[in-house]
Amino acid sequence: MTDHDSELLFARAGAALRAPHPRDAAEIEALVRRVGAAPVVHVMPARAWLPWWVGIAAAGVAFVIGLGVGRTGGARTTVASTGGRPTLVSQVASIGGGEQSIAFVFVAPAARKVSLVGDFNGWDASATPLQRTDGRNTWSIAVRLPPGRHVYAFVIDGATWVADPQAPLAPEQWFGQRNSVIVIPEDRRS
Amino acid sequence: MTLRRFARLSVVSTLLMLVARDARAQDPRLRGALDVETLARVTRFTDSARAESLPTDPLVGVALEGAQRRAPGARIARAVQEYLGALRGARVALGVEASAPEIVSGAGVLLAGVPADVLKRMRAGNPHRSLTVPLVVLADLVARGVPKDTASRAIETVARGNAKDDDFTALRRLVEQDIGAGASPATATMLRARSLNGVVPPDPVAPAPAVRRP
Repeated sequence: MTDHDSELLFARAGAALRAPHPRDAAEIEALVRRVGAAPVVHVMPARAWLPWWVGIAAAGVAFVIGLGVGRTGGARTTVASTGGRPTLVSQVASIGGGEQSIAFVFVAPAARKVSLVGDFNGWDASATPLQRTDGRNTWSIAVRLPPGRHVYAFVIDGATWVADPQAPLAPEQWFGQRNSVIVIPEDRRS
Repeated sequence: MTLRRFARLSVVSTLLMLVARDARAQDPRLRGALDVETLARVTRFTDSARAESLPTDPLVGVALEGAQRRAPGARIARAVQEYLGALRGARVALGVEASAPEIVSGAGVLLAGVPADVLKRMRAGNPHRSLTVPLVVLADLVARGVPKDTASRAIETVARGNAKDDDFTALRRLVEQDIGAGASPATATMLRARSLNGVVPPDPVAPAPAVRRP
């Protein structure tokens, strides 16, 4: 194999890996099947500038699985299991100027109360409670966040802090437990 | 007005002015959340950050997180002080033109134990693009057990290939999947970085394969 062949091989492998991952597709299907049994959860207020909401509504689910938050918009849904509780954490970012609306969805069947804490609400567990949807297992809330790096966690029953296991972890561990990070894209480096 | 009365009035006025000045400097979010001593210490750090044109919100955020987690005041103040040091280091490494999110993300990388030289190299190699997402992903990889040099090399390699933020997000997700499937963090990171970029970075875990030359 020549250097040129190697380059072609790696280029092809790279292209294949940039394509939707088969495992992701399987996860998407499994997720949609699971979620399909639950009532529709509207994780974000309807907006005219989110055309893919049509697809979400048609699918009958409120979860969109995409390739992550990006400059041109996107969605990310992650499935996780934390502390024995099955959880589904979803963040959907809508791209506009300045702040963006992010939906946080959390499935915690045994929880009596779930709230979102982060640098955007002073880490106040009473400030941003998630709403239980139709008495089922899903909790959700939409929060407007300005561009930048935000650190957050979920608090279950007012006591248990849980990071989003599928989101980037914050390296800083000031008080014994890691949080999660979400980045709202900046316009340009100033 | 007697001299004694005048002196008393002056002392009271001075004290009031000092209190008012402190109250102005204090972040209103911190009042009530911290005890007086911790509030004073944290305020000194946020004042320093402000004077140095460093972002102060992350410092306030750490203090509030500590308060909500009921951490001792001394620990909160120490965390804020350490964070301030990391913010300073990140700004030096990334340059004065770095945006606030870049500085905060860079501070996270430094706190993860990655040398500042990595930040300097990343900035030198990417002077015009935002490094926020690459730095967040780098810190995340280290937090997930990827050796620091491996994670740094992988991110630098991908960044050199004009990768977009989505590519870094994908890298993180794929590495996480591989680790979950049993791959070693270092191997998963290097393989995914190579695949994303079509470039072979130096491999710290295995000798580079010999290239047969025609």
